[in-house]
This record gives sequence, structure tokens and C-alpha cells, in this order.
Amino acid sequence: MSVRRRKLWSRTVFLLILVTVASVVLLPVLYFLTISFASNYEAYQFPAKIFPTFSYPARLRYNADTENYTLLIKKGADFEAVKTTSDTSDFSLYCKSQLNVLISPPEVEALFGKAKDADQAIPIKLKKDFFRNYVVFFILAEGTMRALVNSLKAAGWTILISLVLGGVTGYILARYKFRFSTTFSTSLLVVRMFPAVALSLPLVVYIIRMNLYDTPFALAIVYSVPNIALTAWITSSIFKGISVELEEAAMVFGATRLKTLLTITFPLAFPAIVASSLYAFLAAWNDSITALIMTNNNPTLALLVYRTVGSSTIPNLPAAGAVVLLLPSLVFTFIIKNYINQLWGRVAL
Amino acid sequence: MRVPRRSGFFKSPVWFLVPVVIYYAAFWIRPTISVIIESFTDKDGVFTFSNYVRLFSQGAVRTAFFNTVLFTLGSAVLQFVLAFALALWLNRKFRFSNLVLFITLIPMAFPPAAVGILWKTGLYRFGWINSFLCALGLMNPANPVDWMSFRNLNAVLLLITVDTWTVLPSVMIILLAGLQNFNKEFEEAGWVFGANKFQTLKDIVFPIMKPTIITAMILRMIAAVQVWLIAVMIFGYNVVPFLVERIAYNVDVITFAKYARKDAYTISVIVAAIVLVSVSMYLRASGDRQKGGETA
Amino acid sequence: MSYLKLSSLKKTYPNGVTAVKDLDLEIEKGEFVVLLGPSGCGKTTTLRMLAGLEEVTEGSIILDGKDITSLPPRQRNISMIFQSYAVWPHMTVAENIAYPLRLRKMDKRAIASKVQEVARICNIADYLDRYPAQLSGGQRQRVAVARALAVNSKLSLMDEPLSNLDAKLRVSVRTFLKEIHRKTGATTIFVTHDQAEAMALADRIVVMNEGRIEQVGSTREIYSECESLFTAQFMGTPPANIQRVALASSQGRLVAAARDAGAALDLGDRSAFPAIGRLMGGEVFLAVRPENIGIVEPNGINETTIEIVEPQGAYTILVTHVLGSEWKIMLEGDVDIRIGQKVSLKIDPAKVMLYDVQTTKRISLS
Repeated sequence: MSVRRRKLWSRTVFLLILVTVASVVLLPVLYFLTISFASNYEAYQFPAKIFPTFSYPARLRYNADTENYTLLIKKGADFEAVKTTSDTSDFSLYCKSQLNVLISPPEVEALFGKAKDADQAIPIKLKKDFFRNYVVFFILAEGTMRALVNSLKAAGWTILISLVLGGVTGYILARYKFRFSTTFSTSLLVVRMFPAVALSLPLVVYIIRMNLYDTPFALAIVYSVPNIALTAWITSSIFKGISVELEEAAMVFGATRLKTLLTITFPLAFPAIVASSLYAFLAAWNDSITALIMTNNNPTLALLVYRTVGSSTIPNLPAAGAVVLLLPSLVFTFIIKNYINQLWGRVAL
Repeated sequence: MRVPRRSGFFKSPVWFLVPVVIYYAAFWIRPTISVIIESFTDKDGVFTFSNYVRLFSQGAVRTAFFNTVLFTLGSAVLQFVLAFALALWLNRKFRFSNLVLFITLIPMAFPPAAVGILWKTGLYRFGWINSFLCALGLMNPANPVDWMSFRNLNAVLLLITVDTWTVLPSVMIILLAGLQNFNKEFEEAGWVFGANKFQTLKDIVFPIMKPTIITAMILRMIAAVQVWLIAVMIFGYNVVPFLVERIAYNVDVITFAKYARKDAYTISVIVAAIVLVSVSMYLRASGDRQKGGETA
Repeated sequence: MSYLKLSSLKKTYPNGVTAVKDLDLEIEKGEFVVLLGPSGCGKTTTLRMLAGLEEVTEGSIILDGKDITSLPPRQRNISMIFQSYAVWPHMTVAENIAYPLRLRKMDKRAIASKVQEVARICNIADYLDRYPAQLSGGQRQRVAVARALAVNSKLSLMDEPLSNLDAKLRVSVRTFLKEIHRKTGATTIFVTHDQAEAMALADRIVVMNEGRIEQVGSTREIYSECESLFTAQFMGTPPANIQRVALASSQGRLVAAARDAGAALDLGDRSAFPAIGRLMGGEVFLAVRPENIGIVEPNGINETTIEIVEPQGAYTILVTHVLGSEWKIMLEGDVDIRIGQKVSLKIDPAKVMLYDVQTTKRISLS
């Protein structure tokens, strides 16, 4: 095969792989996003739509014989009758709860009037309150904002504890060789092996005794157990990469060890610190099971979403909650993707 | 490496590790020991194997054991192959590789609860998976497949697929980091001296990448053995049992049943044992042919 | 017909940078050719194009009659020593040397004896079962050499193989490489930025700058008959004394004067510069090598004060100011000159090099 044909071939294969990978990742995400914006009515539609809609193509028909009005919504080629009523409040309520359309009774009254005057169904445009699901989930539903705050608190504490304890450990492991250093580092790995679920059970007992039950801080304590080990592992490999001589230079020129650490070592290890914080954050933000065991009235957002899925049958509201749950980790992932190299590059068992 | 200064044992920086040690003693060692002890004692504190016996007599637990092993091995193999291929591809640094990298990382950002919703809405009869297949013409809208009715082996395979979507990026980034730190001249030397792309991969890239691969796979297996949330969110409790699913069942659903706590503890010990055994077996099987260090 | 022919070779990167511009070079079989130049001059890129590790944008490479321009490295029948040695860390020394031979499907016993043979030549026979991590840098380098040696290739490429070695080792390995070349007669292309290395090893040196060839020639030609100012200033340690001057005639002597700088420099009797007529009154670049300047008792010509004395054992470097700039003088052996001593400089007219101010090309004086 000539060089040019080979190039064309490899280019086609490349594009194929690119499209496949992108679709496999993005299609589910798109559907998921659309569901989070879908009204109850839309959630029942099959096949589901991949992109969200902003309004409904609808018709309103006056039924002279029964003196009521029928709302028809376009489905495929036809229009499907979804609601028949003569009461404006009833109509308004239906639009709000099932269609995510906010339309007041007086406005309904006006539409009714128009429909009555016409001799066939009139086309009406029902505009969706696009973010309604989010509003419902976060503002109208009880405790969601509080759960969000709890998640943030738990995550914040986790980051703090993991960075302080884990970072110090990582630094010492990188710079000093002492008798038990190898046992210490391997034991850090062992910690990750024990299922966190199991630890939560006995830990609840201690937590209750310490009067910390049902608090974000207690959650942070549990989340930090594997995270300190991970942070220590990541930071020690980064610190090993930072030449001792940089620190020695600072101390020769008069800086104390603490000042050296603060002004020289840690800034250089910044990527590792950022990335370790990310993992600590995600551990706290994403967890449902430990929160399940350790909290009662103060759930984290992840737990709340998990519970909502169980209780409701239509997925659109929990999906909205899940999308918000998803956002911080998405942002953090975007930030650390450039640091992954330094993070995992030299890490090995 | 520095040696602790002559100012004596008490000035040694090792003392800074004391808080961590205390932390772990309180929040890991103590609970772990109590869990282990609890699993080996009966209600009166007498040493016994009865907990284990009782568990293994339950069909659900035996199935859970089998499913967990199957899931772990199946997902490990599938995810390794795909992650390595993806990492090799992304390593080429083409024009939008940074953007594509971010896209491939998106599934990793999904919290387990969100993943559960994502696939629950996808897998039920009128879910988006079937919607998509209908849109492509591969499925008849009048007769959609009910993925959630899968049982046993099919269910486990389905979960492996779902899990792979979520988890692949986290395996891939470790492998990708390893590849990016890989000295290109090792490969080039291979090409110059006669190896084609496949031989270079097999004889040079792969063996040198071993430590990174081992790291990634061990981390992956530790997580895989503890699968439960997606199984529960898609199928519910008791339908496709896994070991940690059994623990969660005992903790969340039948919390006050007679042996709930004991069962939860005992299964935990079993899970920890499985992880320990499989990790050490894996380490031994991979061996360390490189005496005295990895990088040249 | 030359053994290796590079024609109009060009390399442009996707970001627009052209690393190699229109390079033409012909190399005979068995020659040891050194590509010499500062970093970024394109020498490594050229080598990598020869290896097939970089794609050729334009031009062709013909090796022993065969066009290898688009062939992948493994089909070119070449061997290479990399700057980082690229000795595979997961294989023992023996396996490293054997791997290329295994790929060529050599018989096992033949491989084993070949491995022994090159290991003996390269003095690593004792390390055959060790892993690279257990070897020093110098030993690893010899493994790279052995590996390249074991393959009977048409072209042997070396990418700055000595730069990571300490000074002493560098010199001894240099001699070793030359010995191997003498024994095997392999056509070799060697890349370096170190001129001492280039001059010691090369049959011919190719001086490169900014993607182009400045000059091709033997060591002597490159050193003493520099065709461009770049070559003149690049070759030589300490570097040649170069200055922009105006030439004039004064009492039968040729003198060089620099703008607002003290006394003019006497270059010698005018008769020693027959074709100098057309340059009079104009500006040129003057280049004089430190070793071509002599010291005599002050005699009224080129009087100056020695400012710094740097004894180097085999030679001594003196620093003084000439024409307003710092000039260096190199004398053989140990010299009894003190700082502040007044001397007169004597310049060898035959070794004066002049360059055109616009083109920086050498002005012929014959």
C-alpha cells in the first residue's frame, strides 16, 4: 500500500475510534441530562428523546357536547389527548405538575376563551419552565439544600484531615528512611483493602459515644481513613521528585525548616496537593453507603439522591439531583486531567 | 535519602507520624479487630465458626460469592484490555487529545448514586438504551428488551458492562500516566533493531509498564470485589447478590433481624480475606523479574 | 555512486518550524561522518530521518542503491546508539544484545556466540547476566554499543552517545569507538555538539547551523579553512578571536582598525596578502586563532599588556585587549609571563581568516 493510502486508512480508523469513544461516553450523558429536564409527561414517553425540549407543540379543543376543553400534545404524527377539564385551576395544576409548564388560571381562562370561539382545535404553545425539576428538587423539596451543605462540610473536613495527616506522612516517607518505612508504606496500602462498609458498623458505635453521630465531621473521619493513605502515597512520590537540594539551598540561606516547607516544598508539590484534594473531595462527595450508616436526619446530597431514587418511580427528579451531584466532580476532573501525569507517573506498588 | 540527625531519637521527624498512627489505631485497627472478633464469636462472646457456617449455608451468600468472583475477574480482564488500548491511543497526542481525554474522563466523575440513576433509566424497558436502539432501527419499538429482567450470568455480564463504562477512565489514567513517563527511546530502539509495532508492544512496552499495570489492576480489583451499589440500584436487593450487597442488605434492609449484624461483620471479613488473597496471588504471579529496581 | 545519498532533505514540523532545510550530502561506504553543530541546528533531526524515526517532509535518502525514505526503521538495516542508551531495563545485558538478533531469526547458537563475541570486544562479558539497573552509566553505554555492534547493519547511527559520560570516560570511550570503526569498517553517522569529539573521530565533519550545512570537510579543512564565519567561531577551543575591522595599508604593512578602539592591529607585511587590494578601506570580519598569535619582547608593533594568565599544563592561555576587545592567545607549554607584563603580538599572516561582512563567507586571499 502506498504511503498516501496508508495515511488515509489510518486517518479513517482514527476518526472511527474517536467517534466511537465520544459517542459511548456522551450519548448516555446526553440522555441523562435530557431526563433531568424532562417533565413527568415526557418521562413516560418512549422512545426517549436525546435532546431536551423547550416547549410542547399542543392544541386546545373545545368540546361543545361536554362543555369542557381537551389538551392535545403532538406525539409522532398525531396529537394525543392528555387532559380534559373545564376547571381552569385543574388545568393549571396539570400543566405545572405534569408538563413543567407554568400557566396561571387567568391565562388558562384566556386560552379557553379562544378555543371556544374557534370551530376546531387551536394550536397553542406551551413553554416549559426549563429548570423546574431542579427548582423542585432543590428548593421546594425539603432538606435538599441542607444536604448539599452537609456534603460540602464533610468534603471540606475530609480534604483538611487527609492533606494534613497524609501530606505530612508523605513528606516523611519521601525524605527519611527509618526502620519501619517500608512496612509503613505497605500497610497504608493494606488499609485500602478492607471494605469501608464493614468499618462503618463498629465506627458508628464510637461515633455515637463521641456524640458526633449524624454530623458531617463524623463522616469526614471515616472518609479520611483510606484517603490519608492515598494522599500519603501520592504526595510521597511527588516529594521524592522534588530535589532535596532545593530545600537545602533555602536552609543554607537562612530559612527555617518550616518556612522552607511552606515557601518552597509545598508550592512545588502543588499539583499533588490539588490532585489529592480532588480524590479526598470525591470520596466524601460521592459516597452514599457510609452516609447511610452514619447519618439519620442530616444526610449528604449523595445519600439524599440515593434515597430519592428508591422512593420515586419517575426518574426525572432524582436525575436532576444527580446532575447537581455530578457537577463538582466534573469540574474537578477537568482541572486535574493535566496533573495526572505527575500524580500517577511515578507511583508504583 | 537522609539519615535522622545525630540529635537523637526524640528529635527525629518520625515523631510527626505519631498523629497518623494514632488516627489509624483508633479508626481502623480497632474497628477492624472488633469486626474480626465479632465474626468469630457468637452472641455470648464464645469463639465459634457458626457465623461462617450459617452464612455459607445460605444460597444467597454462595451465589453472592460466585457472582463477586465472576464480576471481579470478568471486569478486570475487560477493563484492562480496553483501558490499555485507550491509553495507547490517547498517548499519541493528536490535535484535540486534551479535549478527548476530558471526555473519556467524564464517566469517572459520576458518583455511584448518579451512575445508578443513569443506568436504571437506561436499562428499563422504556429506557434510553432501547430508545437509542430503536432510533438506529435495531429494535422494534413495540417489543423492547427488558434488560432488568436479566438474571444470573446475564445479569452479571450486564453489570460488568455498566461498570466498565463508569470505571474505565480511572484505570486508563493510571496506564496513560505510565505511558507518558515512558522513555520513548526504548520503543525507538525496538523499531531500529527490527521489531514491528506489535513486537515492540509485546516485548518492550508491556514488560516495562508492568509496575504501572499491576498498580492499576490491584486498585481496580479491590474496588471490584466491593461492588454493590449498581447491582442494587438496577436490580434491587436480593436479585443479583454480591458479597458487599449482602452486607448492605443486612445493614440497610433487615437491620434488626436476628443475625443481621453478625452476618454483616462476617461477610466483611470474608471480603477482606478475598481481597488480601487475590492481591497477594496477583503480586506473586506477576513476579518481580526486575531485580534491583524498575527504571533505567 | 556514493553509498549514502541525502538529496534535498527537508523537515518541517506541523507547527511550522523547519528543522532541516534542503540538505544535500553524499557519504562513502565505510566513512565515519560526524554531524556537528550547536543545539537546534538540525543534526539530530537529520539523524532521526536517516533512522526513520522522523518523517521526511521533502527529499530522499538512498542507501546502497535503495530508496529508504519512506521505509520504517526496521526495514532499513541500520543500528543505532541512543543518547540515553535505551538499554531495555527489563532484559539482562545478554538479552538486550540478543533481542535484535532474535528478531532477525538468527539461530540460537549463533546468537549466543555473537553475544559473547561483542561482549568481549566491549568489555562487558562479566555483566551478561546483570540487569541495566545494576550497571553504571558507562557500562550501560557499552551495552548499547555492543547491541549495535552485534547487528551487521549497513549504517551505524550514533546520537550523542558520549554526552552523558563524565569527561575522562568520554575520552576513553571515544578512542574505543574509533577502534571499533577501524575493525568493522561500518559506515557511521555520529551526531555531537562537541568539536573535540568531532575532530578526533571523523573522517569528515559536517558542520550544521540552523538546518543547513555550513561546511563539509576533513578535520583540517573544517578547522583551518573555515568557509564561513560560523564555522570559524564554532570551531576551536578557546574560540577564534573575531572582530569587525577596516583594513588599511600603513607603511607597507596591512593593518586592521576597529571603530573607536585604540591602536590598529598590525597583521604583517603587505606582500603576504597579495589579493588584498579590493578590500582596502572596506570592512571585513577578522578571525585569528589563539594559537596563531605569538609573543615577543615589546618591539613597537602590536604592543599590549597581558591581563590574565591561565596555565593549562600542556599550554597556556593569555588574555589581553586588542582593538578594544578581549583577545586570547594560546602558547605551548608553561610560559614565564606575568600579569601586567608588556609584550608585542606577532600574527602569522598565513593563518589570518577574513570574512565578508554581508555574506559571512570566506574571502579568498590567493
